[in-house]
Amino acid sequence: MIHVIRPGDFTTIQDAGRWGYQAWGMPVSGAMDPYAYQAANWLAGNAPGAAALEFTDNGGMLHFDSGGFAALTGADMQAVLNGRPVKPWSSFVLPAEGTLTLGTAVSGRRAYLAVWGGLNVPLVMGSRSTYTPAGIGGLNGRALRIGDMLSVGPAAGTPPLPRVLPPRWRPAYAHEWQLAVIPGPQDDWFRSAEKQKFFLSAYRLAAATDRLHYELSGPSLTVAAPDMVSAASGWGAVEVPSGGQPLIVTPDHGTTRGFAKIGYVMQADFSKLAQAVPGDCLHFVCTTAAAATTAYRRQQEQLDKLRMYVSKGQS
Amino acid sequence: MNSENIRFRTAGEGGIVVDFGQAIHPAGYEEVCRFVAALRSLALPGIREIVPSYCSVMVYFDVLQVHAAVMQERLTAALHMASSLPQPAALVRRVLLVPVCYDGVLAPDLEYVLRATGLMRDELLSLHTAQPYLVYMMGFMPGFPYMGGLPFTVPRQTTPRRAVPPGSVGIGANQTGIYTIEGPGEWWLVGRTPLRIFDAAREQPFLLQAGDYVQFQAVDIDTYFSLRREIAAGRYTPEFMEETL
Repeated sequence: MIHVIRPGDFTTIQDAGRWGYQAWGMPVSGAMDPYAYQAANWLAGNAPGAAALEFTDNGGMLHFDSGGFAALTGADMQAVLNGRPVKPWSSFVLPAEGTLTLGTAVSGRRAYLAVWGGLNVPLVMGSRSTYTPAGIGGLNGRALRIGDMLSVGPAAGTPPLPRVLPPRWRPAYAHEWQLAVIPGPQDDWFRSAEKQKFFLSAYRLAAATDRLHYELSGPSLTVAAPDMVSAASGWGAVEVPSGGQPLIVTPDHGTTRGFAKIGYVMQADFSKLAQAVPGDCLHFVCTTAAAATTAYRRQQEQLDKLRMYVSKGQS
Repeated sequence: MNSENIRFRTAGEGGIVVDFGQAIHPAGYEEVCRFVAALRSLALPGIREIVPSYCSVMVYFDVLQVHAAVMQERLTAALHMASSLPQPAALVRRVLLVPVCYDGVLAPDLEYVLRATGLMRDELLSLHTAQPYLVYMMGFMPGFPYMGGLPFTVPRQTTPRRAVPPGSVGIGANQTGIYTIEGPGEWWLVGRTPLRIFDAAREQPFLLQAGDYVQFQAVDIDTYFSLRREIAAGRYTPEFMEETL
């Protein structure tokens, strides 16, 4: 059992997402930083898609009554296990009666804790991801609270060896982010001067509360045809409401929206979006779907190599 | 199907929007339905999800499994197939009977809507319950049905309400819908239904899907609360009617 001594600012159970129900208005949810999430699962010796904890801004304190094995990736929250520092992007043995304390993120925004065996909560519509607006998934459909208890799923065989990931697998988090954006589906609703403005200006991440809103502040954009019939939208879509300040759609956001989209942040850069802190500076760089696919494939290859690195030295 | 009006639009590297235009009308929607039916029957490899809306269809696909250009070719083939499909499956329509209480605190914006439309209360209720409304699409929140074709129009609220209770029946422009979970909303609330349109704990979490119809039925406040009790106790079965056209 994992006892939640302090829950952190907004800690939820997430997995690879609740795919298959967007036609019924159910958002995909899932880990906002897919790279850090999957790296944590590989490090912890889990199958892909195992449920992990996603910490936001501040991690809190967890107590493990029985021993086990875990991995921590993503934002550096200055983790300490039984008084000894835990390196970011590492896996480690959890001693029985161990206490893991995480502080405030000093770089990045979201950290992931994968426990060998995965977190054991019921599947809701095929996923363990928490979707707080509807109160489903994760632990009772909400963020963790003081006194919560989490059970760990059954794990087969032996856990991998403890590792500290070499730098080539650890992304660097700054406060200036370059995000590659594929124009479309409504980029033709913007005059070329407006598109240029979007790609040449710096935007500040104004508000990014929970997993619901990513509002930007910067130069206003004018949509040539502001009234758009509601249509499907999803994680990474850059929408421009009539007010002109762009926003980015997040994994818990509604599945259909009535705003024109100037572009989509490419999937390989979702990790950057997840780790950006309110106040950070975002630069959008124009790319193509083909280049984005290559970047995504490369990221997946990195994760494959990481998995092989973790399993090396295993019997 | 006039294929000249259909456009493919890029929605990130893993999404293609098949755009049938920019209008909410049954004819355009029929094209959407035919295309979705064709796509589902083809079960193309690499497709993650198909999300239809009023006049477009989003196709999410796995870029590691299928090349975007190949996906677009296959979608073009699906469009051709859709155009040769016989009349849509809507020969039989499924109508859900939705009891609604249009009274008092359950209808906080009814007065406003009456003033904005110049309708009398009885007129508004008989218009809202006059015929089944087509569920064009679902979105915004889990299981929220977007229904078009109201015979009157009310502009949306400029400041959204922070917490709309689930079951609230809203009107925005010439659309009507049912809020399924508590959350912010900008439509005018003219009534509330005791039905749980979305319930994750149910074997079938969604009562409705795109293509269904909803027939609203006015009930008094006592009936509303007794239905709520029946539903909470699991003794109520939602009433679907099959209508042959």
